[in-house]
Amino acid sequence: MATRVMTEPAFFILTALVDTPRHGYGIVGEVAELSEGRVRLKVGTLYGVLDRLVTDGLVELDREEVAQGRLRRYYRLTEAGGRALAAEAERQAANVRVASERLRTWRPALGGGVA
Amino acid sequence: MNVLEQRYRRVLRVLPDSYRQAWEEDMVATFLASMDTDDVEDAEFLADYGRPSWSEVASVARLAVRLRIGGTGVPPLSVGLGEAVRAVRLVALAVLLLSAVWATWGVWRNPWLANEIPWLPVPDEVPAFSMGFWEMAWNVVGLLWVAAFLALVFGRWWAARLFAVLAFLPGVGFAVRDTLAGNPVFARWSDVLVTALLLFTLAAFHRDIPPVRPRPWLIAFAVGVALTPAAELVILTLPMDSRWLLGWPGLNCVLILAAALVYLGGQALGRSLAPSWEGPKAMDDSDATSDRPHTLSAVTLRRCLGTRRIARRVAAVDAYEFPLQRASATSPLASPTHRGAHSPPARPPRPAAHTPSTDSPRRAFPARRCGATTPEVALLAG
Repeated sequence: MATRVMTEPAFFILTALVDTPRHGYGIVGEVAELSEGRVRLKVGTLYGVLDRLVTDGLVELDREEVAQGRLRRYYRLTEAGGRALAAEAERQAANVRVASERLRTWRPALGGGVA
Repeated sequence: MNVLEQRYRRVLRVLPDSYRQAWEEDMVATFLASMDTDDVEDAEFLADYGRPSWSEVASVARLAVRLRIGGTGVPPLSVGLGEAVRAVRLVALAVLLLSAVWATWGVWRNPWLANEIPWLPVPDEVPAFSMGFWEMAWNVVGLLWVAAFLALVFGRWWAARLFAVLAFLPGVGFAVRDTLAGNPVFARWSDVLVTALLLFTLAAFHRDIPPVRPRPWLIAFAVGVALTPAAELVILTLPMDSRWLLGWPGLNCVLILAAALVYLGGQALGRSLAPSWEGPKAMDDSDATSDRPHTLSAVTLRRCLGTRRIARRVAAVDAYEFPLQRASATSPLASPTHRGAHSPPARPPRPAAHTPSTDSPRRAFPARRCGATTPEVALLAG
C-alpha cells in the first residue's frame, strides 16, 4: 500500500472501520455518513476495495454472524491499516495546509503573472 | 431464495469463480441489506419483482474487468498488460521463426517450381509459372527475414526491426504494382497487412527486457528448415483431389498441435521444452525473491505443470482447508499467496471480543470517532 495511492473509497472504508468492526452494509452506510452522502459505495465497488485492503493486510475479518438467515462478516482495521490511514490522513492534511496558506494570501489576479 | 437474490447472483456470475467463492455470500448479504425496507408491501414487491440497479450491475462489471485484467493487489492493469506484452513478444518470435523458415526454403522452392533449376525436375502436378527478375530478387530479399529472426534471437532489437522493415518493403511494392495493373490483389494486401502487424509487435522488444535464450529458437529454426521441404514434397506427391487434406494451412495446424503436445508433455515430465522468453523467468524471479508462503501442493503442482493459475487455485483450496496454519501470520488474510486467487477471508485467529455492531447504518451517528483516534482524520472528516 505504501507505493500505491489510496483511493477515496479505500480511505473512507478504512476510516469507517476505525472505531468498530463493521459488516459490508454497515461500511456502506458509514462511508455515506462520513462523506456526507458524497461517496455512495456500490456493492461491487465496496468488495473490490475490501478485497484489496484484505490482501494488503490493512483490513481483516473480525467475526461472522448470522442475521436474518444471512451470513454477515464483520471486518476490522489492522494495525497496518491504522498506520496507512494515519499516513494518508497526514498527507492529505499537509496538502490542505499548503493550499489553505496559499489561499489566505491569494487575491484574484487582474492580469500578468508571477514576476 | 427470492427472485431479487437470484437476479443478483446471476449478475455476480461475471466475476471469476475463485473470487465468487470468497466473496459472493457476503456481497449478496450486503446487497440484500441495501434493498431492505421497513414497508412490508414494498419488501415483498422487491423480493418478487426487484432487480439490481444498473449502477450496481455496472459496479460488478467493473470489478469483473479489473479482476480479469489486472488481478488484485497490484496496480490496475499491470498484470494483464504485462502478460499481454509478453504474449505479443512470443507471437512475434514465433511468426518471425516461421517467416525465416519459409524464406530459407523459398529461396530454393520458388526457382525450382518455376523450372529455373535445370537439374531439378518439376513435378507434373505443379502448374507452370515463371519468375521475372524482380520476383527472383524478392525471393532472395526474403532472406532478410532470417536476418531479422537471428537478430531478434540474439537480442539485437534494432537490427531486427531494420531487417524486418527491409524485408517488408518489397511486398508493399508488389502489392502497389498489382493494384495499379488491375491484377487480383487480395492476397498481396493481406500479406502486407499481416506483415505490418508483425512489425508493430517488434516494438514490444526493448532493452529493459531479459534476453531471449537462443538455443531453443535456433533448434526450432533448424528443424523447421529441415522439415518444411519434406512436408512440401509429401504434399506434392499427393493427388490433387486429396491435397485439401494436408495443405499448408492444415499442415500448420498439425504442427502447432504437435508443438503444443510436446510442450505440455515436456512440462509434465519436468523438462522445460518451452521456448525461452522472459515470462517464465520473471515468474521464477518473483518467486525467488518474494516471501510468499507457498503451500506444498501449490508448489508441487506448479513444478509439475508449470501453470500459475492452477497452482493459485490449489493455494486457494489450501487456504480453506488449513486456516489454522495461517493464523499465526500477522494478517491471515494478507498472505500474498492468495493475491491472485482471491482466497476467502480466513476466520480470525482468536475469538474476538464482542464489539457493538452497526446493524443499521441509518441510525444517527454521534459526532465522535475520528478525532479520538487520529487528529488528521478528524480534520479531514470534519
